Amino acid sequence: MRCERRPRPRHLAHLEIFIKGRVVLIPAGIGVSPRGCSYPLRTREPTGLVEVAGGGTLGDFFAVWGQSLPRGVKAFVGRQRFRGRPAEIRLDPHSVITLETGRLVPPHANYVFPP
Amino acid sequence: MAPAVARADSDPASDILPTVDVFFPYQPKMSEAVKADLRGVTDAAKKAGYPIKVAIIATQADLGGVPQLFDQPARYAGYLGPEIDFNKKQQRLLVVMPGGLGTYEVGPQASRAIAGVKVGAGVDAMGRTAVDAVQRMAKADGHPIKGFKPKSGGSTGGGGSTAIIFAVPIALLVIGLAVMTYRRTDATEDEEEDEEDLA
Repeated sequence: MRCERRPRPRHLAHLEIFIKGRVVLIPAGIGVSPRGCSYPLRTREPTGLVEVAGGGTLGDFFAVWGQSLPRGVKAFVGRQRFRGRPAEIRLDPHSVITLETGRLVPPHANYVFPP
Repeated sequence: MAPAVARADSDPASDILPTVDVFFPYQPKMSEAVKADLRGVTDAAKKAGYPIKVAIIATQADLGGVPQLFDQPARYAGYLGPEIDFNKKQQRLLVVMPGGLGTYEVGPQASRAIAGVKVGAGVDAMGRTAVDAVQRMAKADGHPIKGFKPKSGGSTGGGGSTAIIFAVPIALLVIGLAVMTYRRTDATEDEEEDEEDLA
């Protein structure tokens, strides 16, 4: 993935992470370079909203973030348990993804995205 | 990754308010002048010994994963408060929604001070309502805010908007009646003239 200066249309996906029942705040500024360019996956606020240009996977997002996916994580897309490799979850428009380890925090039924 | 202490998540305000004092709605956009007033009044309240967080919730999108709490300001305040208190003794919170105000940990005097406040229509009016409410609550709690004046206009909650809502239709009605009366008079005169002509 390349850091690009030209603006591209982006859709939103939402990601939540709970480690042992505690929320992990996903910071603003992931994929945003101080040099003025952005990666196709970025965050501009610490709310879990991921702005996606084109497409991408959860693995791509963690790579841009510079973090590893938590070990032994359970993944949910909406309220459905995702049985494959979490890194392969696609960040489709308005997808709602929850990652959890330890005590289960029930994923929300839906998420109302900003326009 | 350092996990923060929180009981739940997915409402955007719970992610924003730990680091700032005001959560602004996504859409419609609030004017910069009203935003500045909200930041100003919360700063001034902090200096007066009355720190408080404010969440302006204009639509369901401002609630993310808990849209069912829209226009239930008291319930949402009770939901959001524990998410952002981080085990503090007292994390005061004011929630403003189109349908009213909700509070968390503000105490009975402050609650009484805003009991009659109506929320103005539109996001800027919601912001002004919050500015007014923070000042009222701080004063009622024995921490009057000094040295702050809103720059974006009146801060009397929905009073101004309510006046406009009622005054504009009445003014239009009066104008309409005046026009109708004028036309009738004119028509009568024409008829009289016609009659005269016919005669």
